[in-house]
Amino acid sequence: MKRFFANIFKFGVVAFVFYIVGLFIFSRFLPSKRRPNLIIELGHNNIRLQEVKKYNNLDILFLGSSHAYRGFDTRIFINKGYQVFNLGSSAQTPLQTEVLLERYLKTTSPQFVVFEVSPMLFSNEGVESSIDLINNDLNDFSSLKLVLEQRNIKVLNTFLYRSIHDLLFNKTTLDTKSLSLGKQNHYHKGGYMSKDLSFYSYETFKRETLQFREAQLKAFDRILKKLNKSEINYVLVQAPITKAKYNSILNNDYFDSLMQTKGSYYNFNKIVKLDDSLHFYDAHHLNQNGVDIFNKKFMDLVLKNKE
Amino acid sequence: MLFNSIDFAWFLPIVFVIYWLVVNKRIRYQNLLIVIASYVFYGWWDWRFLFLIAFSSVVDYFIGRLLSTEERTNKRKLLLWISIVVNLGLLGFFKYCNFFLDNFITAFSFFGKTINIKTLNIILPVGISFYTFQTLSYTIDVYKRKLAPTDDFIAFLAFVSFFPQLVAGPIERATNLLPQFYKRRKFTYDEAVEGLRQILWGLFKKMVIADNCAVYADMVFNNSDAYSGSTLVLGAVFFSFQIYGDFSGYSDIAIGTSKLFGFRLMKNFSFPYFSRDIGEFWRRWHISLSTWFRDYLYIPLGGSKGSPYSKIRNVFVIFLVSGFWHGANWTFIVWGLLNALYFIPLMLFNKNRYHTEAISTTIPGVVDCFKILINYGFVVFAWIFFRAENINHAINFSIAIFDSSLFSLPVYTIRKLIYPTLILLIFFNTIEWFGRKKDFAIAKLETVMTRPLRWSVYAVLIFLIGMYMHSNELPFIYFQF
Repeated sequence: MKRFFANIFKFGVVAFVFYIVGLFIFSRFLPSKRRPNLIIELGHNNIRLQEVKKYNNLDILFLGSSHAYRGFDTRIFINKGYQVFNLGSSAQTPLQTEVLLERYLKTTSPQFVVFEVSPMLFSNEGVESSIDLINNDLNDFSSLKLVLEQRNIKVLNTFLYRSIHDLLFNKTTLDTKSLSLGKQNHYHKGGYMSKDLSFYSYETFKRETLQFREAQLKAFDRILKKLNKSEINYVLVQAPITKAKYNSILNNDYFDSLMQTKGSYYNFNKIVKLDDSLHFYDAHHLNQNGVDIFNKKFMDLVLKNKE
Repeated sequence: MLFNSIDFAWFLPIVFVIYWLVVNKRIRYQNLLIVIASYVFYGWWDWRFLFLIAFSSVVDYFIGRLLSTEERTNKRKLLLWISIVVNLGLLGFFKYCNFFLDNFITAFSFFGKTINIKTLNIILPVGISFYTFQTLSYTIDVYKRKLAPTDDFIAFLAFVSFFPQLVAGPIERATNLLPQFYKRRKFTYDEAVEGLRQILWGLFKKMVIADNCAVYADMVFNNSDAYSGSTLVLGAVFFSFQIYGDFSGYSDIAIGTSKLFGFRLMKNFSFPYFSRDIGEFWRRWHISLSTWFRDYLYIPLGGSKGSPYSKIRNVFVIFLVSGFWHGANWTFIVWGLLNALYFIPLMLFNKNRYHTEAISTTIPGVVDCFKILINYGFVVFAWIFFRAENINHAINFSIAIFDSSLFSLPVYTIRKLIYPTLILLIFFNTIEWFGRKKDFAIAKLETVMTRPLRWSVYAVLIFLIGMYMHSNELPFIYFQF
């Protein structure tokens, strides 16, 4: 029996070394589509997470998914005299928001947090966003917690690769020149991403009731508790999406009532009048015309109320 | 609980350690642990159906006890029939009730009559077809006096619910498995290592081969109207490897896990796609079910003895029942029928036992290659019916294969995507070919490789699982049966 356990242990070490070496060989020689469980591509979040380290004493910190980083134009807020940062990232769910706040809440010390929420994020596992975060930021114990929480092989592989990679080499950093965003996308100071003006073409969506995940709801509650404990005011905001997409979700009302119990909540799908074909470039995202209208309304309604 | 889940990755070592280090002093405690672990394993899916297993076990245990004291033939027959009716009754209710109701309604509608019977909302308990047949084998063997009835209730509960093979087999014979619960199990290093090796190979088959083939098989079968003949063939080929990897992978994990606890289960698959005719295929595919039907149905019906008419009848019966066992759908019955049609000519010309040994040469001859390909083609064609949603779907799928588009290249979107899976399939079949004379493909590594090389192979397999497994746990196909 002893021999059995000893050899299991020895083999475990050998297999782990093989695994890590394999990850590096595959990352080097196979294109991303041929290694579906190893996603190590860097993105604009890399720049955002470098930049956020330079900020402190913010007036407003934006959190949330691409609805946040493509919906709150930092230039508009800066012009109005606010010091702001948009810490949104792709498909960011409460699980990743929690990690980001762990890392950056103290250093940015915001007076006010705008937390973008949507039913889709609460029903999302958060795999895409975890991978994005692990790839683009320095990893610490909270990344490991994220891996254990997600129990997903893609997240684990990315974590193993990035942890060893960052240990052996310097953390890869991008700048706006080296980052390939495509011609239409532009990164702006403070974390906002804009896209050249284009318009949404109509598509249909399956109507569905979204199931909210227990882990996301718990993480969400922990975030709010943390903000309350730090005496930081916050507001929960649902950013506008196309009516085609919004109406396909059957439990919007339930979500609204749930959010209202958590704090000051604004559902801008019901507040601003926007046109699917004029103010959006895809089903989820406002184009610059839509962003301007939304941000103005947001300032009038939320920031003025706050003052 | 799924074998390919993180839950099982925790469950197995915990049970293993308690089994060998805590309760190893007494067989009874070990058996009790197996019962508890098996009920936890099954209850993980739905605890309510534990009562069904417990009920089935209690009924057959007491019928066994009564058979041990009963000498009168009529009474013995009655006891046997009670067991058969109870077990098949449960199976019939949970698995076939709606099928019969639906067909009853359809049959009446042919005569212009409509009847209002609502089908029931019945959940099919996982593994019911497997453990029902296992308990039945006990009662039948006791009735036939091939096996002494057990008076050890815990051992009997463990035999019925033994978690490695509870939900998808191999369907063990009481004569093989039950006596193993009476004997003292001794931990042996070699057997435990062999068990782990077989589990690893089973996981590779399921998580890499089956689950990746499933993506393309589903893509083609779910949208078959849109594809050319050659693409449909590719979809059917992917399904053939999906079902083989899935089911034989499950069997390997089950057999390997049993070895970890000192049990030997019967072999369930023996490289069936290298068969040269359908007779050989059926001696290599789902062996535990084929031999169950052979021993408890085919031979009692007369087997291959008697007139050509009775031989043909018996073959049809066994294949149709086998098809129906898989599921309450006409597709499975037609699948069974097709296999019967493939088999009957071989039987009539006394060629059904022509190939009883695996090909011995490293490189097969041209004739053997040809036979393997032809046989594989027939098997794949029958799989179309097994996989299709309904009979119409299967017929339309089959008709669409045989048009001029069969000779075109498969559609670009699929061609572009499948390369990693094709490479994995070539790798997999190569290993299977070289290991075909052993119980499972990588069993041979023990004798032909030094430890560093062997460990490297295992590490590569683990790496490939990590690289190509699905990020969500996909259930095994045979759970639905």
